[in-house]
Amino acid sequence: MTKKILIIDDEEDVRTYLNSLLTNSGYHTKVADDGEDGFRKLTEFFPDLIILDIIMPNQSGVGFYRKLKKSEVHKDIPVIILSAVTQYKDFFAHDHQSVPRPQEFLEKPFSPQELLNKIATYIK
Amino acid sequence: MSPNQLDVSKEDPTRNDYPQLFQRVPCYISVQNHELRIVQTNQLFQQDFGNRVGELCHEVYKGKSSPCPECPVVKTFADGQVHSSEERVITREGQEAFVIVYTSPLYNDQGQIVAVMEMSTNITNIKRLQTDLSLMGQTVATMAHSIKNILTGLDGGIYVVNSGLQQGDQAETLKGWEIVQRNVARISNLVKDILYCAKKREHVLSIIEPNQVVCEVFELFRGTAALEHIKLVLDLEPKLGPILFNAEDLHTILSNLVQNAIEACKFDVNRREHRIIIRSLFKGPLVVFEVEDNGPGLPEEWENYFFTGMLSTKGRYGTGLGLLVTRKIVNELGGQITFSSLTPGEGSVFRVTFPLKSTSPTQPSPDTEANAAPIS
Repeated sequence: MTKKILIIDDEEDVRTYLNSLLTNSGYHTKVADDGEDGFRKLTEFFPDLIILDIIMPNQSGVGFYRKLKKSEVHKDIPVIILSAVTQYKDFFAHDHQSVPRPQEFLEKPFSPQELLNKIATYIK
Repeated sequence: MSPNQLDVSKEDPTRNDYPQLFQRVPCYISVQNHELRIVQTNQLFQQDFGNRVGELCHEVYKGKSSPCPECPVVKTFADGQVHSSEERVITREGQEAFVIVYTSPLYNDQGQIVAVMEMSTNITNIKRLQTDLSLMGQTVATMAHSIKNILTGLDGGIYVVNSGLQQGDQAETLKGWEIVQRNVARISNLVKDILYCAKKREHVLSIIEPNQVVCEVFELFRGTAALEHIKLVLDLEPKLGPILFNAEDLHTILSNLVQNAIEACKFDVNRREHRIIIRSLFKGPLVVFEVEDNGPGLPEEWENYFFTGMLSTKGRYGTGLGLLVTRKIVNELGGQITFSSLTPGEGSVFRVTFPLKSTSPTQPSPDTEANAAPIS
């Protein structure tokens, strides 16, 4: 069965890029442009993995991630953080809300092959 | 001997010349009583703040109706010790200045504290230098962040173009090409901003109608604001006639501030109806332009750091250097830019203030001419 990936990023160009890359690699995708939109799509789509940006309007990636980890239904979905802001690695390590760290961090600009390899680690 | 002459031939030349030392010391000195009223001032104080004896110090230094929190004068009255603090004050010409303040008790014959001397050294230039140095580092970080986002966009565009070509999908190829074009434009904007920050520019002045420039900026952004459901409002001062200025600079300054306000409103989730007011004002010797928004506002403590670009609320949009460029132009034109948050969560006002040039057709209003700012 085709695996499903939810892409959450506020930049349209990045969404288009990831959507094209992942579709060409055989995944079924859905895109969301902020954390709020991401949560709406999450409940409809129930993805196998989430690619998450950090700095977004309305609800940031941090807000989305905390909410996700508190949701009994969705908390086990693996998350790959894809952001240009590298210090969020440390932020999640010391997050006062004590949520588990995301599975992976990738820094923009990213290597498409590295992203595909990481995805393959979590959804086979 | 006149009180302005010092007799250096004496064994202790300072002994009988304290009044002159008090007057000539190159920092602001004011003496305050228990009510915090100024009872004595020195020459430099009078030059920059006027003759304000009898008035409350917080009114004179800051235009505030209540005493400052953590007031060093109050502390010295309480414990008789020397206290110090860094403060931001406003001179009588409306110019912002940073000062480092030391307070010291003054006793009567019975050993009671009857007054406190406040000695303030103007450190505005040092502050500016300090800010510029930290700006340099932060600007590099901002640029690196912008470049990373642009590179991701370019990678994406190239990938989508290749994918479209391989699949013979013209629509996909075109979509990729648009992404490439968009990100090339972002690089171009970034480079323009960097160059603007790096170079000292000549600002050729001519007689311009400032309200006309404000209207042009209003028209330029009306469509963009409407798309974001933001109401753009124009509030012009009709008395503001032609002035000696650079129209292109004014256009850049206001455009950056309006763009910044739009981004602030876009990222505000707590309010449904947003509005931005672009305002021109004419306050005696000063021409003032304001851009006010009802976005999320910013904490007051961010003010000193706001023009570092890194603290731009707009995150990845634009280059993040817009406010830095604005500050540079304003400073080069001899003006001042300040930012104030309205009540928390109620938006902010960016204000740029310029002294009128001597040859400006618009003249300072007669009631304030006596206190006119120096013509730069």
